Amino acid sequence: MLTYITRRLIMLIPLLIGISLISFLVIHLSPGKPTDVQFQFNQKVSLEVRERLEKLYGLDKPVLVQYGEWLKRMARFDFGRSFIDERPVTEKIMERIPITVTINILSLGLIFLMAVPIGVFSAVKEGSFYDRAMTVFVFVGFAMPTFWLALLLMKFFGVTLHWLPVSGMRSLQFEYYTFWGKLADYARHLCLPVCISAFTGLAGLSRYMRTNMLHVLRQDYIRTAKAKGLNQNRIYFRHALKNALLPVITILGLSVPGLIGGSVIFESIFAIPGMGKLFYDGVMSRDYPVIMGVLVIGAFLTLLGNLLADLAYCAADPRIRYSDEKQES
Amino acid sequence: MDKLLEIKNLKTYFQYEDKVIPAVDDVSIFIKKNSVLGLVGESGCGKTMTALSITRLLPTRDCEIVSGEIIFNGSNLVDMREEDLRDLRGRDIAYIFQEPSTSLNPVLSIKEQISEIVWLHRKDIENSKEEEFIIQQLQKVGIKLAEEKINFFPHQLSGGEKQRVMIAMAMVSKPKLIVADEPTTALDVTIQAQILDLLNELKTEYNLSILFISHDLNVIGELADYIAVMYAGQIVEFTDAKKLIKQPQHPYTKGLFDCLPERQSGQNRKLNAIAGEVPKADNFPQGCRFHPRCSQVFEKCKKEMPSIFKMESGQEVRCWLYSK
Repeated sequence: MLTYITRRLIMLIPLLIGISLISFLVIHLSPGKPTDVQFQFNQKVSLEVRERLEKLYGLDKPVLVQYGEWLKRMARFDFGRSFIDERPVTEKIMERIPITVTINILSLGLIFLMAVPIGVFSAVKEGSFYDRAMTVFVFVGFAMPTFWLALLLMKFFGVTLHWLPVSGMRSLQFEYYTFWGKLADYARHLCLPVCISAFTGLAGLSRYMRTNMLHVLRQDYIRTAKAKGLNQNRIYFRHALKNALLPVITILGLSVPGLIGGSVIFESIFAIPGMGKLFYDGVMSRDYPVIMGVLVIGAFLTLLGNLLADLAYCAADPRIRYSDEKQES
Repeated sequence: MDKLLEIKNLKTYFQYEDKVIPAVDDVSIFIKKNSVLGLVGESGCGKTMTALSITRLLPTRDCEIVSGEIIFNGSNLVDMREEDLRDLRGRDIAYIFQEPSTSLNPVLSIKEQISEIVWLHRKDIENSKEEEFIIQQLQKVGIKLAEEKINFFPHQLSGGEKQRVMIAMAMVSKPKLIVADEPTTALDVTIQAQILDLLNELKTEYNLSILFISHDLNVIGELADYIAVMYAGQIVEFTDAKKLIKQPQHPYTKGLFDCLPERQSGQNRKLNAIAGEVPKADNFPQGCRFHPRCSQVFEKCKKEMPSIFKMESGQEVRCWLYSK
């Protein structure tokens, strides 16, 4: 087992190098430079100053040399400093991650809480009114543009009813609140973003769950369970659900990068200072170190998520064991 | 001897919006106490559907018992409430299915799968004795190292062991009737013989009745006291096993026997396959369903469906040749 994990971890290295090389090239070859933001609209700055600055950042060297230098720094876990405000990239990312992760874990949790029962009951009552109603419900969420729904709900709950704040993470008087008051304030601010992203993400998992469950219910061992004289609930929840939930682990693993990545549109609409917003701002100002930092961390977490999913699989499913003997024999 | 189970004029149809498929069409058979009824026929002739109809284990909601009676121990299972029938399943009537590798739940251990049925049908066994009891059951069906294998998952067992587990599971509640649906088809020939021996032993030890389904006349012949031959959803011949083997009456039964290699005399003789194909259930021929393949067909067979004729020897045959 340990050997297996080590092998998988070592295999991550070439993958990460490949991913970072491609991202690096794409970003550096795309039009526009970090210096543009500072100089394009300011004719007074001489070309000389501009060149000096580019030299300072190392932008005058060939792209591959730049990549090599970046890689050298990466080997020491040095992500560099932002071109824009000179703050270390790691610091910038670290202050954004908790916000994005909180929102995404909450919405992922909500999605699971709703999608699993929706899917399971749809399968159990296949073709019923409930099944069809749920199909319509989840696809409405899937098809509706997030930003539009977000704006509508902001207008309704925020502007018309004054129930919920429309943007940001905390109120102006936040500092004066008690601990519980602060928590409540966060909750009120997160309510809309979390609910909306859960609603729009419901379709995928619930349909997946429904299909799995339908597939499992047709298996021979379900007939065996019925022939034993077990009642419906026991058949559904002990014999079927466990089998139907197994593939969901993959989905969970795949959603790990989404947890960190954040959504650009979403965070912009609600003015949430998360990873998506950081990346977006980074791209707009060609802030290379920030962009690369976000991408590399994202890629690493994606790969790690896959690995975790595989490991979770073998913990949950007795048929799968990553044995080291297999390699030797 | 009285009948433990009697199926009378059972019709189980698939009913789709545009068509009706008569999977089981007017089947009447019975099983006497402590005896084995062999149900034989080609794939797709409705054997399994007949077996599943008994305790309403039918696969989809499109498939249902249209008419007929299934009398078990004096009560009619066809109009029994689902809850009462559920009580009966696994307690009085237990099943052994064809494919042991898909019939056991892959994510539950052997112990979990058996303990479920102990908990359900054997309230007399105390919790503390449960594990010991399960091990005994496994040993009884010939599983070696049962203490260890009790914690195994199905994929860790061989095909034969899996089928033994299925049998152990069926035997937990000491059922009156075991429905064995092609229990040996998926197994090697050597394992097949062992499983048949095991069923035979259990039958004598527990006074079991068995409905044994197979497409293999040899297997059926070894075990059965009575044999029912099924063709295209109907029983075409139903008799005492010895009589049927000695003197098959229906042209289809004769054809089946001619297909067996050991029945051929002399060397280098070709096997006689029955000509033609098994008709599809949504398109049965008019008249006798076997007539397009029958070597003794005559005019009447093409027009009218024969009913079951009882011969003087007691054999029941669905064939115009025997109408007086």
